[in-house]
Amino acid sequence: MLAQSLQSIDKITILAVLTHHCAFKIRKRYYFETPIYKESLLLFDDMELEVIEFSKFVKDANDYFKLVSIHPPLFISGVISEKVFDVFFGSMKTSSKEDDLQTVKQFEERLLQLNFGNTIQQQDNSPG
Amino acid sequence: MSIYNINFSLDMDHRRYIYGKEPLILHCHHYNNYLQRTIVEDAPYIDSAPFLIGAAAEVSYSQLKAIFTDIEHVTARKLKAEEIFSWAGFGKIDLSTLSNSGGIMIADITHYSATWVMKFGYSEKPVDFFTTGWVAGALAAIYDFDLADITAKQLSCKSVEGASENSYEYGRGKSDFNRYESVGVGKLTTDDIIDVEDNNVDYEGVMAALSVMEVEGNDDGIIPAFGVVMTRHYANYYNRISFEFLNAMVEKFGDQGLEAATPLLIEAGRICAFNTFGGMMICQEWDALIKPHLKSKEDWVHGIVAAVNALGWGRWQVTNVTDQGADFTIHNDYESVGYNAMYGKSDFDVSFLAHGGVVGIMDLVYLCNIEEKPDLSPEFYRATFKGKDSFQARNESSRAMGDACTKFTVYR
Repeated sequence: MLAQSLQSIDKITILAVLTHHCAFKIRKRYYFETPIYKESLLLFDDMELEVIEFSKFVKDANDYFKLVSIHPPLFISGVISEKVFDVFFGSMKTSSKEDDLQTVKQFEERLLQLNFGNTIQQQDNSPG
Repeated sequence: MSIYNINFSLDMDHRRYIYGKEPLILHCHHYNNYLQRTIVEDAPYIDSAPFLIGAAAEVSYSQLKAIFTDIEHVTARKLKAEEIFSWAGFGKIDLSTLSNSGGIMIADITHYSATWVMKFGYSEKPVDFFTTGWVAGALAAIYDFDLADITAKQLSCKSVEGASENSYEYGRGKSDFNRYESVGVGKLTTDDIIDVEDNNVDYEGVMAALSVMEVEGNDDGIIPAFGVVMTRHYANYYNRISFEFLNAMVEKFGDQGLEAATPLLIEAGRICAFNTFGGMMICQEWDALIKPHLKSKEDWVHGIVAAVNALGWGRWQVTNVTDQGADFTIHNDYESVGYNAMYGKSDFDVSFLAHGGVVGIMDLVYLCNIEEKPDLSPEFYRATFKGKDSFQARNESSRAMGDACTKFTVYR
């Protein structure tokens, strides 16, 4: 279904899927048309990038990354060389729902500015 | 890069984390809150607050007394205690308002007050027994009091609708909670590692990789990870509250109390498995480290067992894995080790979390099709784990009862 969704659109589409996560108010999974490498993650130059080289511990494992921003509260988690990452928006303590929605909006505008794609297709898989 | 200066150690031989002489284990908010609700609400005739608060005071007092041998000044001790609390994912506390005569402490966010609402909605009464007791123990350790000489009470809790803060009151006087002396790590034996059938999981590599991950509190002192909210909790806390609950039930109802409490504690383990193990098996870390090697359902079982070894629960092994069942061997399981140290040899198996955990692993792999990344909702739990096709487990041997290790056979 995901492949169909992507093929049906001519533009460079980012598929943004809203999913359930109890620890964060909003979690979205972003699917891209090209793999994500460290170079593209460094474009988020105001966030702290950490790459955990699982490949050093386990043969044929992939490396894992996380990008963290405290203000606004934002956390990106993914696998280097895969075409997908998860983004967790909001803080249990400090942010309101309106704040979180604004953070989502700003983040998605930035994805487009940084040329991860030129359009975003939204899908809601959250319960309720 | 870590914002904390916490020099905990990993006992690789026994798959255990230790800090300040206390064994630490990773558990999620689903288990923490469910276990507490089981104790408090499923058995309202048991006066549980004194041991829930007392168990938390026990572990923080023991841990901080050990750590404070190198820290003399009160202010430095308070800062270290606050750091440990946040590092472990329990939230953010400010001990500066407390003196050697006690006082009132305000906390913006704590693990229990925040995650109780996430799991169950608002509560009618304060639920943060853990922070109440932990800070009591910390205060006693900071000022070199005896635990018998401090009182502790939660005044307000954000788990209650309308509450704007979590507040706790401490004073000097005869303590109003149970007092226990921590057993520390307990008596460990050499793991008698068994042969495991061929599989595609690099157990040692997974253990090494996961043990270097910085699973620690964020800016709020909370650990959102693996799709849940984790804590680096105390094995002796879980053991104390579970076994005090069990003892109280037996004292009140005899054998029927044991029969009633056992399934409740096992169910808490299944809840844990569904959410924590399930969350781990659908997270990005899993996709990077473990998933590339999984060629079969049986590999998925081995994969999560390899990951469980990094939780500090002891060494877990699994053999004879099929879609009909498996045999789990657990060396130095934390429940048995704790029971032996706290209460001596047991007449019955006490590895309730492990019991629920091994069943949960098989349900996740063979019933939930976890490889398809389902939404781990309460509805999905009821449809699978509570369904007629769910696995069962039979205890084959128990470390708490004097056997070399704890074993379960899981079957349909």
